Amino acid sequence: MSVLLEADAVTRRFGGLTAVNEVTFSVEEGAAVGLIGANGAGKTTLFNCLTGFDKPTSGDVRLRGKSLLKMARHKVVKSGVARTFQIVKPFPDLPVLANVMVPLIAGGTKGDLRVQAMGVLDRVGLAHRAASPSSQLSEGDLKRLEMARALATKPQLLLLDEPFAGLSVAEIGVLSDTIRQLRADGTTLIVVEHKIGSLLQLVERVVAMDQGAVIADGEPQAVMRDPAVVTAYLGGEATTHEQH
Amino acid sequence: MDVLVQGALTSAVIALVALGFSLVYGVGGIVNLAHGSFFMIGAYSAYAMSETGAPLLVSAVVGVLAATLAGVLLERLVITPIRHQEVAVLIATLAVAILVQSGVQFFYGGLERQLPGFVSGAVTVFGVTLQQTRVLAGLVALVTIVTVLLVLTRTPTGRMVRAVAQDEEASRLIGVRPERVTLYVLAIGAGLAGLAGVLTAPYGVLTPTMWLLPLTQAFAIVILGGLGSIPGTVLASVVVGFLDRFVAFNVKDGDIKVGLVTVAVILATLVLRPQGFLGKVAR
Amino acid sequence: MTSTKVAEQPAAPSDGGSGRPSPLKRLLRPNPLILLALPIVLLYLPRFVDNTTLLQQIAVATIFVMFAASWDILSGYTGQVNFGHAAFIGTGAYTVALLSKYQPDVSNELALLAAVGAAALLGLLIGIPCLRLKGPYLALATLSVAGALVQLTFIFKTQTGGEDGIAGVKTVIDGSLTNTIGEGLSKLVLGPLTFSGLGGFDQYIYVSYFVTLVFMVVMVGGLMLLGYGKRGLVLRSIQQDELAAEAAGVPLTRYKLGAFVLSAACAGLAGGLYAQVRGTVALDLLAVDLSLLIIIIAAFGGAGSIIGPAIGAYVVVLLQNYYLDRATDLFVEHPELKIGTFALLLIIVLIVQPRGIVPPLLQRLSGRGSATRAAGATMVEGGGAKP
Ligand SMILES: Nc1ncnc2c1ncn2[C@@H]1O[C@H](COP(=O)(O)OP(=O)(O)OP(=O)(O)O)[C@@H](O)[C@H]1O
Ligand SMILES: [Mg+2]
Repeated sequence: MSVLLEADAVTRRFGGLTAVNEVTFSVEEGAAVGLIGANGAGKTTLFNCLTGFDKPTSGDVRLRGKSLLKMARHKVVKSGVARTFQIVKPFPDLPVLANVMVPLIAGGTKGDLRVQAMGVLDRVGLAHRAASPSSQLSEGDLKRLEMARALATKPQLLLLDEPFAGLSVAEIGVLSDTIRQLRADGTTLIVVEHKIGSLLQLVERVVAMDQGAVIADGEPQAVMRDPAVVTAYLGGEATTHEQH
Repeated sequence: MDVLVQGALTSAVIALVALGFSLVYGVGGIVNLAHGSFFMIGAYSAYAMSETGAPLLVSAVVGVLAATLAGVLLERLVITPIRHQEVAVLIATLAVAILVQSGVQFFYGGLERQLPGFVSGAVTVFGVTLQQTRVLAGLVALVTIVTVLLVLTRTPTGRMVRAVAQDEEASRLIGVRPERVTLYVLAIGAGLAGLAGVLTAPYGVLTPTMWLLPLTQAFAIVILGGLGSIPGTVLASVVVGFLDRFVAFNVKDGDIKVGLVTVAVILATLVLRPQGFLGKVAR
Repeated sequence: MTSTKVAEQPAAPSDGGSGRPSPLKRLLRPNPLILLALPIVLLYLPRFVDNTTLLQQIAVATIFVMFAASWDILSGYTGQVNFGHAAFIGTGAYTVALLSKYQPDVSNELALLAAVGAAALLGLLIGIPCLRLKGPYLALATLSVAGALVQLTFIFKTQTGGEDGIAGVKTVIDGSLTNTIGEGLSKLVLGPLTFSGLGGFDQYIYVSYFVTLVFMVVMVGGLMLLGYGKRGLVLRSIQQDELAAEAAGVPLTRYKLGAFVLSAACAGLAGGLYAQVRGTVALDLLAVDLSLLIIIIAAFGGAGSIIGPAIGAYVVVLLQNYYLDRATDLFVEHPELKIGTFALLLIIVLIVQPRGIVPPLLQRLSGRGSATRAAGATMVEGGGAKP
């Protein structure tokens, strides 16, 4: 197995705040990695840095040994990296099918784009809503649309930012199947998710972050038992409770 | 020396226009393309009053009041209903600017007009001979700006305005009503622009399209100084004011090239540093 | 198994089950019958309408159709609302006029090409700094560039004539391409004998009428093919969410700049043709009034649909140049009140019906509920109001 993605001492500062701090890890081809951490740990910011949507203050991100940092965002997509957004970003006035056609067009796909877009929608279980404007979708369907649009770029590496947030247990089940299928088809995955239970059924490795830094990385059970992770999570929970 | 003194005076007048424009943006998130029209309304109202034989000072006050009233009307009738639709606000305020232009043209035709000077003759300052009207305009503008800045920084009202400019939601939590503040700021900004129009009317020329240059200059200043930043606005006004006079004095046909230079400044800033040189991210 | 499944699927969204055309179908294909009927009606109109004053104003309106459609491919589609479209129009027109004045040997066709080139170059020059701008910044930047061009004409007053403009520009009659098209169609529609029997001025009106029609059909047709095709979909996606478009792999800069340059080039062509139709150019071709008029047209017709602004242009321009003059003498004596009236109407429309007039009307007529938004009406709401 060869290394697909490498994060090399990636740091991102916002003024005085270090959102991502010297994060180093690598992901092998075909792997499925979970990324966990309390709210504000820096997971989304790290995703942004890995996909060209944000520039790290320092450090490097390499895909198959080639730096992604100087690449335009659409070039990153072209080289096989796709991502979803934690806060879904549909094209609200476009029908669902057209939402999925955009990445197909951008990728220079040949043939009947509608058929292919339908095929992608089918994979996430959204084919029945193909004609609806995406502004009319439920939260769960929007999550699936977000995923369908990422899939339509035909990624080798897919980064999912909280794909299960806002979904019912049943919906999570369906989407999990889709994700497992993706893996079986050889797509490499990095998944940010707070629903640890569902996440652990998908991944064979977990990276835990706290205050921008990686505090544990490895076998899921081991990471979950790691004292640093336990404290970080309890601490995180405690602050969330205080806010409510 | 010429450029220095004249530049200072011009800067003060320009800042008068830009301050309101910038504050309205900062406070209400509203870019008012009719802001230059307040300048024009001030100038033409004063001119109209003086035509009826009213004393100049009265005409001047009427000019400022008319502009202020126009600001209130604009906020209540046009902006409030569509406040949260950014592009609609832009289009509607541009339409207002054209409406005012068309009205002015209807009543006064396209010919150039001029207000008699409040004072006449020339003075010599630092060895520079200046028209007294220009000096008066600059001084009045300067005093007004200093007053406005003091109000903004030293009084509770001013702090409230700045609070809204910084964070609308947070200020709502502490009991400030941003809509109210927007109305006040728009009215005052309109009055300030109207005052600038009145002050420059004796040495500028009044035409129905005179609103565009002050609007462009205010925009250049906001871009240079950064959004809603008060010190940025003042500093950028000085830069644009000096540039204005520098071009007017040192370039052949400088007076008509001022606008071009302003646009060049705008485009250059946008390319080099879109967040402005002093302010927050400008997008 | 899977292949049959996939092959069956596309039928579902296009029919939707309810018998009404799906939003997707509407989005991708406007009714082709109407689209074909319009130019044919316009082509044969002169056979039934012999009011040459009206025909002349229709020709002018046809030019404005090109102004509006070229504005729409940038502003209505990508959501980069241009408040200074007159800059491109005026650049095209002045290029043609200056060439005609200083290089009379240059053919009209070449002059039009030069107009396209000059406007496209300007589009590129403005487009680059405007790439990162949204809403208000873009508005002010485009507005001030148009303002700067007005000042340029004053600086080069000897060449451009300042406020007086340039008269005596070579017209469509003087260009071999335009004259051939115009004369050919005139003879086809009116009959060769009728046309030959007309006075010179009337002939010029008919030639202008048909030339503008041909240019318009080609330009608007091309823009519609683009707008309703794959690229149009990408442009729309950019308007809806730039980040999401980039995540979908859209080369944002290329599309946004491309739309800017294309919009400018088309406006330059239309502006150049306008100069050859009027025989004069003046500051009205660079003025804010013109830029706003185009926005007014789009607001009435519905932006982001090409055809909406095109129809809007006929309504607004014929009102402005023909019907209002016949309604009351006030508008004849004070033409400046027309744009003022339109501006006032626009303000009212924006306040009471921010989606424009025609799109909701069409929706009601065709029995579509407000459930699905017409693709055309999203400018005002979706154009720039990003949090
Ligand atoms: N654009 C920004 N400007 C300033 N601070 C930011 C910005 N984006 C993120 N941050 C800060 O960086 C930190 C990390 O945020 P991030 O969104 O990456 O967290 P996260 O792990 O994805 O959290 P969550 O689980 O809530 O999604 C937070 O403190 C956040 O406030
Ligand atoms: Mg996050």
